[in-house]
Amino acid sequence: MQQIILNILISSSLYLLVALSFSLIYYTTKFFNIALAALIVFGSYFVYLFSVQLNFPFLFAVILSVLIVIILGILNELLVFYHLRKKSVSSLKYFIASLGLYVILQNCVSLYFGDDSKVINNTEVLVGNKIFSVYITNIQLLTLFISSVLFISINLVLQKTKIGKSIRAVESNVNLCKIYGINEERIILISVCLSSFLAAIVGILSAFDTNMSPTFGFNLLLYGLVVIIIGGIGSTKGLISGSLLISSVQHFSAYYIDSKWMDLVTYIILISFLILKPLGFSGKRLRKVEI
Amino acid sequence: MKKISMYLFCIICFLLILSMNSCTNGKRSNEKILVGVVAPLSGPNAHYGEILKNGFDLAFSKDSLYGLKYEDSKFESNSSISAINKLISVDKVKIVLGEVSSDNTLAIAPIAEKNKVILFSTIASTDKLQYAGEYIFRNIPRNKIQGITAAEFIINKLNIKSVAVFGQNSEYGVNITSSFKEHFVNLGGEIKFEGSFLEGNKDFRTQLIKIKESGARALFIPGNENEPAIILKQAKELNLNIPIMGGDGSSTDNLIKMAGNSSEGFYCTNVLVDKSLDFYVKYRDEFFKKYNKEPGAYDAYAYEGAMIILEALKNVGNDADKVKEYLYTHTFKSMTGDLKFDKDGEVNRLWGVYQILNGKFVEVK
Repeated sequence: MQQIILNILISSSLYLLVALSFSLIYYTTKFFNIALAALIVFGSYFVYLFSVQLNFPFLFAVILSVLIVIILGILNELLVFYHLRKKSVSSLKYFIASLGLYVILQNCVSLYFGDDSKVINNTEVLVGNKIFSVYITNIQLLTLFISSVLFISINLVLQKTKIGKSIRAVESNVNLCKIYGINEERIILISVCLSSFLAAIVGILSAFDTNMSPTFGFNLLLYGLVVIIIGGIGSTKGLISGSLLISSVQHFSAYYIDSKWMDLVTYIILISFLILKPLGFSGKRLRKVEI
Repeated sequence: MKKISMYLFCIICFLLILSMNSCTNGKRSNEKILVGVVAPLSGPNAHYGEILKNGFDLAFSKDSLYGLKYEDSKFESNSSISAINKLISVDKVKIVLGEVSSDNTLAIAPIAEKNKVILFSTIASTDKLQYAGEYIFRNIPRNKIQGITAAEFIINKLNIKSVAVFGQNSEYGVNITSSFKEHFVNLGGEIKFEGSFLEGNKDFRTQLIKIKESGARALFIPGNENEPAIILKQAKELNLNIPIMGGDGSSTDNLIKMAGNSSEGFYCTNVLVDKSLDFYVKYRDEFFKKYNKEPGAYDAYAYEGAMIILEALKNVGNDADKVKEYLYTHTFKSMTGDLKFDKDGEVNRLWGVYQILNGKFVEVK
């Protein structure tokens, strides 16, 4: 049982990061950016390109890929979403545009790297470290550590720093921000940077634990989306409880029923939340979510 | 007015495309007579398509009259159906080689049967293909026999009577699991755990813990290569120290590459190849010369299937009915000696058991 609780913690920490990355963009632009799934994939594939194919030192490869993903995120924003926003298209069209962008970017990965599973962790597979009758691998330890550090620090940034406060200000009322002289586009760019950074980290951590393929980002993103809907937008506690709930439900259904029903149970929870508690755990307004 | 010109433009484009198509058709008639292939050339399982292609290309490279026309199935039923429809209606092929997965082969078999086109699979092993029609052939034995081979191996050779079954939820996985379970219980064994996974799943840790708790002394994981590779890794990380056995879908070099050292000692059933036969020795030399690597079992069977088709074509010409008669009535050279097709287009062959030792598949005698 302890081992299952550990598994739940590890997968929920990944979901939490995805959900945070997702909601950072939502705060400022008010739409669900599906193209983030492609950024998740890009993060891991750039590490593969640099460290496995080009034999760069590993840490250097990771830093380089994270930087490239952030640049890609900014490019997406400047070349596509900025123009859409200027034309003030409806958030449904916005959503569809991001879906289209995801398909384009994901196919770029498929074209260059091929669709088969790739391995970036070529080190010897070892029996996990045994801590109190629980096996945990180094990567899993790292995942837990990095995701909690990132989650806490990003939340601190949002709560304490000027930039974070501006992001939240843009979230609550754009027009008022303009009156107060907060540059909306600059704040959006900053939140895009933060969210692309998180997406790249999630991709790398996930690909390190298991293998990767060009479409693995989408599943992760979908779970992140479910977490946001269950947790409620803009609530830290909501995100934590949402990701814990989703991953416990998945692992317990895998344990007590069968792993092929994991997704089914996840989406049953999603739909019942939408019907019974549409504002999520936090109770914050979710009616802004139009999709 | 604008609308009408738009329609006109569309019609002209359509006519242009049509005329281009007939041009290419005209060109083709001067070239080789085509045999169709439906195989996954892209997608997460493109690796299987590549293995088949190696075998088919080698067999057809020596022939000046017949050539191959590949269509990508993407390892999906829908794409397989469009692929075979295109081969039959546009390329007018009389013989189709493929597909890889049991699901997709079952999906395209009725189309081949209806159009009186021969479908020859060298890798799809589901039991249901046996009665798919008189134009459907294969040179790989059935899953039923594969399940029996695995069950007998675990009980008799490994001396293990309690097993966990964790198979892929696909035609192939379900088919082989049911035969395995039935036979394992008949032999006096006990199934301690039963579960299944979907293609694309990545986290099997919770099930592996359950398997560990169930006290099973061996694990049977029939599936393709991607998921079993992750299962092997995670089993090792969770210190699950029991013998693990898979089906023929997992017996690829790619699995070893993906699972790394955790694949060491993994058993799996696969088709047999008699390495002392001249037919194999000649094939191995040619394969090595062309691709500069050792052939596996799947590409050997692909080559063998293509050679059988070529022999029939050379003797009776590109006519599906005559080729069908030829296949039913003649004996062919194969990787296991003389080969005959029975009235269902099936072969009477056995499965072997292989084990990964020092990063290579070695037959367990």
